[in-house]
Amino acid sequence: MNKLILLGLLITALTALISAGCLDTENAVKIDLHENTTTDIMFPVDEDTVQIAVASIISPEESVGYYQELFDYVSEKLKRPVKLVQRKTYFEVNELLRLKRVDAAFICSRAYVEGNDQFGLELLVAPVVSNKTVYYSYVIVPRDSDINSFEELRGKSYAFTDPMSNSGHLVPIYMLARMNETPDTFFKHYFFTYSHDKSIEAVAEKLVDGASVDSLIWDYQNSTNPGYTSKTKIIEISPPYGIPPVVIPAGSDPEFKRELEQIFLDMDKDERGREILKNIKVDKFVKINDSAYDTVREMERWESRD
Amino acid sequence: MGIQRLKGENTEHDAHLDFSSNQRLKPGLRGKFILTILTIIFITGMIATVLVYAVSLRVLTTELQDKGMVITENLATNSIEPILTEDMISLRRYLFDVKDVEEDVSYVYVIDGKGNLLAHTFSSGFPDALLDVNIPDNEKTSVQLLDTDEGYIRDIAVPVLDGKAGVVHLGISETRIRNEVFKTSKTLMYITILMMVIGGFLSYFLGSLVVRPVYALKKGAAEIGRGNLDYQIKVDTTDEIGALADAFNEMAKKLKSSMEKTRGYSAKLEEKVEERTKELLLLQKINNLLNQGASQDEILNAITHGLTTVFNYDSSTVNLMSSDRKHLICKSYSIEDKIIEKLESLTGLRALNYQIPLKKDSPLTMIVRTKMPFMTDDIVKLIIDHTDNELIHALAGTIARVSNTKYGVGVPLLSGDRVVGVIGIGTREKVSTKDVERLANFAAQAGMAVEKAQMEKQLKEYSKDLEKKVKEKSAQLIQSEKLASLGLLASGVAHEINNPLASIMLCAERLRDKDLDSGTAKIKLDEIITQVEIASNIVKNLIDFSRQSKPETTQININMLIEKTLEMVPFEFRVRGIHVEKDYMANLPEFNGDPNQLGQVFLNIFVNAIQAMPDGGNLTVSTFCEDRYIKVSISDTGNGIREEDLNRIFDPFFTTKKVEEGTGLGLSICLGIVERHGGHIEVESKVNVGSTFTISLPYR
Repeated sequence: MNKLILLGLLITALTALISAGCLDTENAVKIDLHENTTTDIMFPVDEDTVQIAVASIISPEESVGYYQELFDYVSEKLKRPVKLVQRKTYFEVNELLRLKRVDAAFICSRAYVEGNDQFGLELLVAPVVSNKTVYYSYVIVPRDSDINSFEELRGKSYAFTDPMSNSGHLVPIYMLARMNETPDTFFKHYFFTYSHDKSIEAVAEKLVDGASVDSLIWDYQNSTNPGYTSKTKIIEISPPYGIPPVVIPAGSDPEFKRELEQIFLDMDKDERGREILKNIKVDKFVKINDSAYDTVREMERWESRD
Repeated sequence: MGIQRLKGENTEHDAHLDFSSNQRLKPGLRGKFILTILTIIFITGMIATVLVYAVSLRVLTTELQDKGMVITENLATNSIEPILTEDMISLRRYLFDVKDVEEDVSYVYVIDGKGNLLAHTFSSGFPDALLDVNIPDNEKTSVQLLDTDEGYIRDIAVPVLDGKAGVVHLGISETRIRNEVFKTSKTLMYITILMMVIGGFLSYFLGSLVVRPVYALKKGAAEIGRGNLDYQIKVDTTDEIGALADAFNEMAKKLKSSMEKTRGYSAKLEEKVEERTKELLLLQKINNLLNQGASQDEILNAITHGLTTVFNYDSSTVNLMSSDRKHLICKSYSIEDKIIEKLESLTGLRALNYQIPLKKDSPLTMIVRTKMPFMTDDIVKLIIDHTDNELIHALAGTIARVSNTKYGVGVPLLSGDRVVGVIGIGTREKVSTKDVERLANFAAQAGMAVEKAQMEKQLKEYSKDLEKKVKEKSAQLIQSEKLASLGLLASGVAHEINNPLASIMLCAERLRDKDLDSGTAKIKLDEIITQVEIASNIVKNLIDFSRQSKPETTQININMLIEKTLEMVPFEFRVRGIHVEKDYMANLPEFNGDPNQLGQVFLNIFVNAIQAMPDGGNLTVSTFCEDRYIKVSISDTGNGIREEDLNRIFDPFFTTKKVEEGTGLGLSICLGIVERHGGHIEVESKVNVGSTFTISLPYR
């Protein structure tokens, strides 16, 4: 009988122990979900904030990594907060510029050409990369692909970046037009990725047979993070085009324009600026003439002939 | 009797046992069994419930959390673009997509890198309090349990682009799984209760299966305890209880056999006690006889009679040791009268007081010598081998055959360590060693009684003798009283006579001094003077003897003292024709003592010598020195003293003379005197040859 009692005690103790272990609840924070509620979404933008847009030359998350330091630097120099504004398409950014919703923007060469044509978009500065203020459009295919020329891509699938992109859309269209072809006739099918990194990724992962990408992006990725670029090969390099510039809307405050321009131009003159430039593989910023983009204009004209 | 009493005790004990066992079984084995089973089921059920509750809650919440985290992380990835491109419509759509698809998702909201709320799924407004909880550190996913009015909600916060773009929060409700777990636990509880009911019934029936044999066992144990050792417990099971029942049955069997054995033992013991009691009664009877002053013969008869009646032997004899210890004398026997009559008439011998010589190597001698019992399987052969009398040989065989007595035992009759006789028994059956031992023990005690009886007999004889002596002594005492009176009388007479004797002496001297011419008259006068002197001396001696004068020590010439003493009895010597020879040592040293007393010693011895020689003889008196003792030797040629009397002659009142001849005091007085003078008296005597008394007196 005593043994039975002992057994009972043992089991009870065991149960208590197990329960203590299992029922060890975490601390819960008491909250009433129906009290002190706000219906408005707060999204305040400070009057003082300088909004600088970045067109989706590269994908938004890549852009954040690429531009954040630069923007912080600018903010520091301007002594004003700077907000990085992104949109999915070049068109949307151009719209922000047209409506003067942003104070400046990093945009594609073709977007500048169109903006300049349509609403007097002004050049501010342009980066010098590898001592040049030009860039190219690369035709890339998967590294182990049999395709070795643009012509061989006939009947294959193809990725463009943004419809307003120069290197990612206009250049291959121009090339096709020279061959009396359109994307519809030449490719089995094609689509827009809206950013160059995505196009590189699509080729590397063999989602498409080929793509046209910005040489600056491919080179940058190839030197900093060659995960995808190493899986691709360049089969065609276009003639050089004016490098994508930094622009400001027409009719901006000349003082602001001058101030901002000076900040960019002086970047390579101080330690921290050089450091940031080095990270984004840009030698420096320089003033650039509109004529640098004439080749783009020419292509556009040629394209819109019909 | 003894067995019956034992039985009585047993039943009492059984009643007690029965009672206690009933008491003990009252709580019920079955009850315990059921209780145990129910307890086990209950405890197991409780443990299972608690465990299932705890474990499943933990597992499910972990899973829920994991799921929530996957959803949130996905959402965070998907939210990057909408956040960065400020596409709030898409963002909102994403949030609602998630919330609508996953029923456990309670809410989703997104804040930007600066903490501004970008989008949420709350229909009735965003609760501000949420903004303060679960702010992720280190750009990592964090989880916080919230206890809200809608139940427990796990808030999962995933930073977007390491928090640069913002944070996606997802609230996943635990209400559903908690309800599920609770439901499951409830079901388990119901199952436990059901199991307890089923378990209760099952254990009741199982308990019966177990308890039935136990009850059978209990009944059997009670039966066995009650003494019913033939009871067999019927348990068919082959388990431990079956084994126990078998063990019980076996135990009962063994108990029965051991009880029977015990009964046998106690019967034997009883018999032995009875025998022993009989023996003791016999010994008591013998002792009673002894105390009542029965004669030795009566005691011996009681012994032999007891041996045949109490010990149940066929014949018995008691043979006592003769005084020279060379024979055993048959003093009592118990045997069929006819046989003994026949024996006596045929042999012409008397059984009683028949003397059996203790021959060398005969069994009887062995018994006497070793004090150990002796057994024989053939009593006839034994008698023939150790008896010379051929008549007895022939008869012994006949008697043995007639009485069918074949076995014999002889045991020593011991008094202390001394063999006083031998008890012999004859029997038809072989005597066991134990019986011999009993017999020997009995003999040892009986021997003491016999010895005591013997001593009593001797004591009686001695007292008779003493009585006779006392009679004699008192006569002698009267005589001595008479003598004493006579002595007194004599001293008075002597005094009276002394005066006329003095007158006669004076007259005779005067007459002699006168010049008488008649020579004859002068001679006669001298003769008168001499005779008067002798008479005066006699009278003086008489006075001296009767006076009991005090000892006066002076230097004595022993030779002269003897001579003077001898002068007192010349008449007797002459009358009896005794010739006195004297051999005195010249220059004998003087002795310091009382001449009167020592004279009395010599006189007494002389008188004794004279009385010992009624028909005359020689009396030799000699003195000499030896070893610083003056020795006076007085020898006579009389009748001498008997050897047995020699040691007693110095005892007071011992006398061999007739009452009128002496008091029996003389020699004892003499010894007293000599010893007071530091000396001693030695006697040598031979009947009809003579006696020599030597008195030794020490000198310096």
